[in-house]
Amino acid sequence: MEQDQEPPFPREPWQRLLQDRADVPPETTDARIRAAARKAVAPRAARWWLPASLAASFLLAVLIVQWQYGNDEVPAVVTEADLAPPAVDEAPPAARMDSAPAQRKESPPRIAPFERAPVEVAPEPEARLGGPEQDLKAASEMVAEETDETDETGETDEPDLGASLAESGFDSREAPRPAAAAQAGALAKVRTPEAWYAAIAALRKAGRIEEADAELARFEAAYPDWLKEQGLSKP
Amino acid sequence: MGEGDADARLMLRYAAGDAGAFDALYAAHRGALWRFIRRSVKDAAATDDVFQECWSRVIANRERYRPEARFATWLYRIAHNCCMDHWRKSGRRDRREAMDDGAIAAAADESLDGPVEAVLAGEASERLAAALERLPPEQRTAFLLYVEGGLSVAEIGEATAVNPETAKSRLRYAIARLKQSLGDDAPD
Repeated sequence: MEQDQEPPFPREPWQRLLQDRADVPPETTDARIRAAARKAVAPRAARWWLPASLAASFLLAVLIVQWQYGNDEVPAVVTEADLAPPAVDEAPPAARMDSAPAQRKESPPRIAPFERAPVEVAPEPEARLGGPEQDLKAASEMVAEETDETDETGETDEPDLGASLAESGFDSREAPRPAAAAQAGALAKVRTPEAWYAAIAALRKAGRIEEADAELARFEAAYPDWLKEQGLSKP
Repeated sequence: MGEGDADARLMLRYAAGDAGAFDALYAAHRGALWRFIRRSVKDAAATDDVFQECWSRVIANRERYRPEARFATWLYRIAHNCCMDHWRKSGRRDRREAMDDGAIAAAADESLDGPVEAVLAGEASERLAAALERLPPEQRTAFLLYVEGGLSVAEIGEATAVNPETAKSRLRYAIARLKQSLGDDAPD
């Protein structure tokens, strides 16, 4: 254009006068504008990982919650009882309930590692004679023999019965005392009171007084009123 | 693209996602644009707002930019519009903005009655700044676009939405008045 080819006046001297004032925008304004410019052209790829990270965080939170509430052995709230060393399980249950009632209500009783029964090497069959299992076996055999003998002769052979007990290795002294009641119940299941009474009488007759007394105690634990009902005295 | 091809290419690169191109563009124009806006709005606090608004529009319209004209023309058109918006909002728009060239010339003559002593007391640049503030807005804008923005007369007309003859007339009145104000310190 003609106007462009013939400028009305030279720019440079006026520019020098104006620029001498060193009038520039503040640095904060510069930084703000540059930041806005960078933000405007920031890669949009960054927009996908923001919701993805949020979703991953949510999923992780859900998994943690499920793990917390899905595992019954882990209490939701850590109490002082959890932080304390595990106590030996000798205290009565009531005392343990008092120590941490909330925890006991929400979680089932746990078995401490040291409470687990130690792994035992299976002993030889002979070594287990005299135990509860063997008592049951002996009693079963004894009842069977008594039944056979009764059917055949009409009366019991008490010395033979005691001998059979001795042969089977039945020794009431070796039986653990705390399990006497359970053992008596087990014996009661496998033989009648009459047969048991006869067996005790045979033991006493054979001079095995202690064994007879032990058996009598078991008998009375299993059938407390049987002697009175039958009008019999202690064998 | 004309002589401003370098700026136009920078703007196109920025529109394509190159933030570094904007930094170069901003560094090249920040000073002149700041002075243009500062002398147009005559308010230090408003200058910062208008300046940021101007660059915000550049950023927002980066994808609409077409290198049909020089980047400076596009930039100063945006700046001029921002100044107009500021004047409308503040209500401080000088009534002489709507005057024709004849009225502008009369107003320029009236301004010569100002305190000459005060003008002569300062440095040349200070006196120039003071004289600029007394110019009618159209003349001041034309002068600043010419000197600070480096726009041609035709580009001034394009930026201010007037024909080139009007732009040239405003520019002549502006320079004549500034020379009168500066006296012997006025550039040749």
